[in-house]
Amino acid sequence: MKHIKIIFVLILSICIQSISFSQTKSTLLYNGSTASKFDIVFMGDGFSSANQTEYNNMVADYFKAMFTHDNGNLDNVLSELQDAFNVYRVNLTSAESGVTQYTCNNDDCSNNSPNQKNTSLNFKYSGCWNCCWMSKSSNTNTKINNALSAVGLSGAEFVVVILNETGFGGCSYGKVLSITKTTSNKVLLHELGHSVGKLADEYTRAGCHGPSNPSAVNVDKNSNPNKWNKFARSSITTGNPLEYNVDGFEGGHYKTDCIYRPSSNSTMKGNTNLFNPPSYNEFWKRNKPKSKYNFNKPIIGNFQGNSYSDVVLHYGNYITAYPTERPKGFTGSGASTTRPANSYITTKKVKGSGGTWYISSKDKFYVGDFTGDGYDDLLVFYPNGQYSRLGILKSVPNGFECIKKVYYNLPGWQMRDGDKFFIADFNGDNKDDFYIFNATNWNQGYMGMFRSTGSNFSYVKRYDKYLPGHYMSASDKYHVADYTGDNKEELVLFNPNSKVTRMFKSSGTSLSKTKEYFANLPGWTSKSGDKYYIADINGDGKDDIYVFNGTNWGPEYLLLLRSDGTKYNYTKRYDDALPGWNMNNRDKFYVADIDGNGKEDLFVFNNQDWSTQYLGRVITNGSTVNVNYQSNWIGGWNLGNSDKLIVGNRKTGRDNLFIHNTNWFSYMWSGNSGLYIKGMYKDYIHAFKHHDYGWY
Amino acid sequence: MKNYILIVSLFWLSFSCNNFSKTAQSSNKNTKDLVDIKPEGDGLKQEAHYFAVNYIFTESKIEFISADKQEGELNYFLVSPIDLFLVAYKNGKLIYFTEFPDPLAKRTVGENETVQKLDEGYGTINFPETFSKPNKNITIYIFKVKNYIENFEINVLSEITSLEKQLFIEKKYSINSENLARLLKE
Repeated sequence: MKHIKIIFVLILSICIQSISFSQTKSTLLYNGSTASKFDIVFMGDGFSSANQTEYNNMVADYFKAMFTHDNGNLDNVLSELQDAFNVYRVNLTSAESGVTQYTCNNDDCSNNSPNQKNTSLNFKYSGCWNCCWMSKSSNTNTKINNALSAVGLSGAEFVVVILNETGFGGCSYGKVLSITKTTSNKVLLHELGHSVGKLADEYTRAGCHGPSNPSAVNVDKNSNPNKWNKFARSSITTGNPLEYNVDGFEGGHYKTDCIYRPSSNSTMKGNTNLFNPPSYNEFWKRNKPKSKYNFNKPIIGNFQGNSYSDVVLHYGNYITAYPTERPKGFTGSGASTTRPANSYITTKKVKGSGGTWYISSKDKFYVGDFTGDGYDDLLVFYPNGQYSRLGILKSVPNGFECIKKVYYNLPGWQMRDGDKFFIADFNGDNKDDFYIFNATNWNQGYMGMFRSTGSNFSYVKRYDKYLPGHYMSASDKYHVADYTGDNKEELVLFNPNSKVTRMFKSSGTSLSKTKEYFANLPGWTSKSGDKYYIADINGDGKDDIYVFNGTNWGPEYLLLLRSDGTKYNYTKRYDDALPGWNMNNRDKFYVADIDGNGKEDLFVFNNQDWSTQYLGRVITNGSTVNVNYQSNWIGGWNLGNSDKLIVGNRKTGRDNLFIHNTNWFSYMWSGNSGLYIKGMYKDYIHAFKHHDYGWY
Repeated sequence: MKNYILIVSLFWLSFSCNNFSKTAQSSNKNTKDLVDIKPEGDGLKQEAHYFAVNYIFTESKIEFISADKQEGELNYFLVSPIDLFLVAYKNGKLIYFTEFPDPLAKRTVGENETVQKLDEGYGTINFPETFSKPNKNITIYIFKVKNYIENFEINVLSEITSLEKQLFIEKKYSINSENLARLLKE
C-alpha cells in the first residue's frame, strides 16, 4: 500500500511537470523544408496557460508587421521575399506568469534573484542596459534546444524569445534574440536586419573606428566603397525618402568617425521603417537563393487603373504585384520617372467573398476587366483534369480579391486541362467575357461562350463539333478581333492544316460566319507557317490583320489586310524586306500602338538569326509601314537570346514594352527615334532614387 | 476499497498525463491568423535529411553537445560571411559552406547597442547528410571574419589560406570529420 502511494505521488509530480512545460507548434508561414528555407521561430517565456492568447496575438501582430504588406510601409522586403522563409510559433506554457526579476547595481550585473518565477526557459530580467537587459539561467540554452528539438526545428536559423515582461529591452546571443513584450515592430525589424540581412548597426558613439573594415555591406571605412557604387553618386540625391539617398555619411558601427554608412538614417541607424538601398539589396542577395522569385512569368495589365501597364509576377505558388507609377512617397531625385515601383502585394493566397484561391505554379492567368470597373482583373485557371478550377481575382487597391471560385464545371462545360481561354467582350457591355475552346480532351471540339456578370460567368452558348460552317479541330488557331467595329469582340480562325481562314461575328449571344478563305487571303497564298496578328492598322475602330510567314517560302512575307466589317481587303504585302528591315525566318512580331496615333503598329524582334539581336519598330500610317531598329544594346539593356517581350497595351497613348528573362526585367517607352529605358531591374523589382548603371 | 481507488487513479493518471504532455502537436488554437498550409513540393528530395548539431563554444574550443536529424536536403550557396563561417574541403575542393552568428557575442538591443564577449556560448551548425559518412579526406574549419572580403565567393573556393594570411579571416576552430561522422551516426 505504501509503495502504491509513493508511485502515485511520483506519477502525479511527473504529470504536473510535463503539463506545465507542454508545448505546441503552429506554422504561420510555410514554404518548404527547414533545409531549403530560412526558419524563424517565436517562443515565449513566462506565459502561463492564461497568457497564451496574449502571446499568440503578440506573435500574430509581429508577423503581420514583418511578413505582410499590411503595415503602411513604403517597402516590405521581408514580405516580398516571404517564400524564402518559414515562420513558426512555439507555445511553451510556464507554471507561473512573468519572468524572474533580478537586480543589478550600475556595473555590477548581480544575479541576485529577489523574485523567482518558475518559467519554461528560465530567463531573468533586470532592465539594466549594461547587463543586456536580461540574462539566461544556466539551463536556458538546454531548454531552448530541447524546445526546438521537440518540434523538429533544431536547424532553425533565428529564434525570437518573447519574455512576458513589460520593461524595455532585448539581448541577442548568436541565433537567439530575447525581447520583452513591449518591443516595438521597428526594433524587431532592425533585429531581423541583423539576422536575415546580415547587416551591421549604423549607430554612432564618439570615437574613431579602428583600422579593420567591418564585414557587413552597410558600413565601410571608405566613404564611397565599391559595394555601394550601384546606388551612390558623387553628389547626394535629394528628397524623400531620406533613407534612399545614398552617399558616404560619416559614422556607423558604434563610432562617429573614421567609418561611413550609406544613408543619413535607416532601420539600422534610427529604427526607421526603411532600409537604405545597399541594405535592401543585401536582403535579396542573401535570401533570393532560397526563393523561387524570377521574371519568367510576368502578367501585364492595368491593375491599378492609372493608364500605365502594371506588372504581376507569378513564381512558384506566389504572385507579387508592382504598380507602374511615379513611386509613392518619393520627392526630389527619381520622383518623376514612371516605372514599375515597389510591390503592393506578395501573396500565395487570395481571399475574398468567393473564397480563398491558393496560388499554384500550374495556374494559368488571363487578364481582363471582368467586373467592368475600368481595372484589369485576373482570371485564373488551375488545370487538374476533372478537378480543374477557375477563379476571378478582382483588382483592389491593395492587391486582389477572390470574388468567385468555380470547381470542376462551369454551367454546361466540364473543365479540363486542354481548355483554352480567349478573353473577349463579345456582347459589348464593357465587361470582358471569354470564349473557351477544347478539342484535345474530348472526341470532338467544343467552343463555349461565357458572359461576365461582373461577379460570375454565365453560360451563353456552346458549340459542339461545329462552329457555324466549321468543323472544330485541335489544330485550330483562334484570334480575338473586333473586325466589325461594333465593340463586340469576335473570332478569327486559321487552321494551319487545312489553311482555311474563317471570320465569326458575335451577336452578343451567338456566332455567325461572315467570311471564309480557302488556302488563300487577298494577295496571299496561305501556308501552315502563317502567323496572324490582330491589329487596327488604320485606326478606324475595326480590327485588321498582319500576317507573317518566315518559314514556308524562301523569302519572308508580311501582309497587311484591312477589315471592312465583314471581310478582309488587301492593303499591302512586303516580300523579303520591310522598309528599313530585312525580314528573317525567326522574326517575332508584337502588336502595339508605338506612336500613340491610334493605328496599331508592330514591334519586331529577332534574337536568333543574326550575329547580334535586333529590335525594330514597324510603324504604320494605315497603309504602309516603315521600320527603325536598335541592335545589341538599348540603353543599359543588352539584348540577348533568352529575352522575351510583352507589350503593355494602354487605352490611349503610346503602348509600352517590357523585356525580360529569368533574372532581368526592363520597362521601355518609345520615343521619336527609338526605345529608351524607364526602368531596369536585376534580380528583383524595386524603385530606388538612383542607380549608377541606369537601372531602377 | 481504498487500494482499488488508488490503483484505478494510477492508471487514469498515467493515461491522461501521456496525453497532456504530447509534444510537437500542431495547433492553431487562439491564433489571430490561419495556420499556413503545406504548399506544393519545393522540388527537393523530401526523404533526405540533414543534421542540426549543437555545440558549446569557448574562445579556444568547441564541444559537441547533441545532434538532431532534420527533414530536407541541405544545399549551400556562397555569400560573403560577416561573422563566423564553416568551410569543408574534400581533397582540397570546397564541398560545404555555412555561416552563423558568433555564439560568444552578446549584443544589447536598443539605441545604445553594444557587443560584449562571452566566455561560453551555445551555437548550432547545420551539416548535410553526407557528413554522417566517415571520410578522412574531409577537413572542416571555422573562421571568424576580420575584414570585409571583396569577391569572397571566388576566393573561398581555393584561396582560403591567402585570405587568412592577409588577415581577412582568422581560423578559430577545426572539427574532426571522422569524429563528427561517428557522433552523427549515434
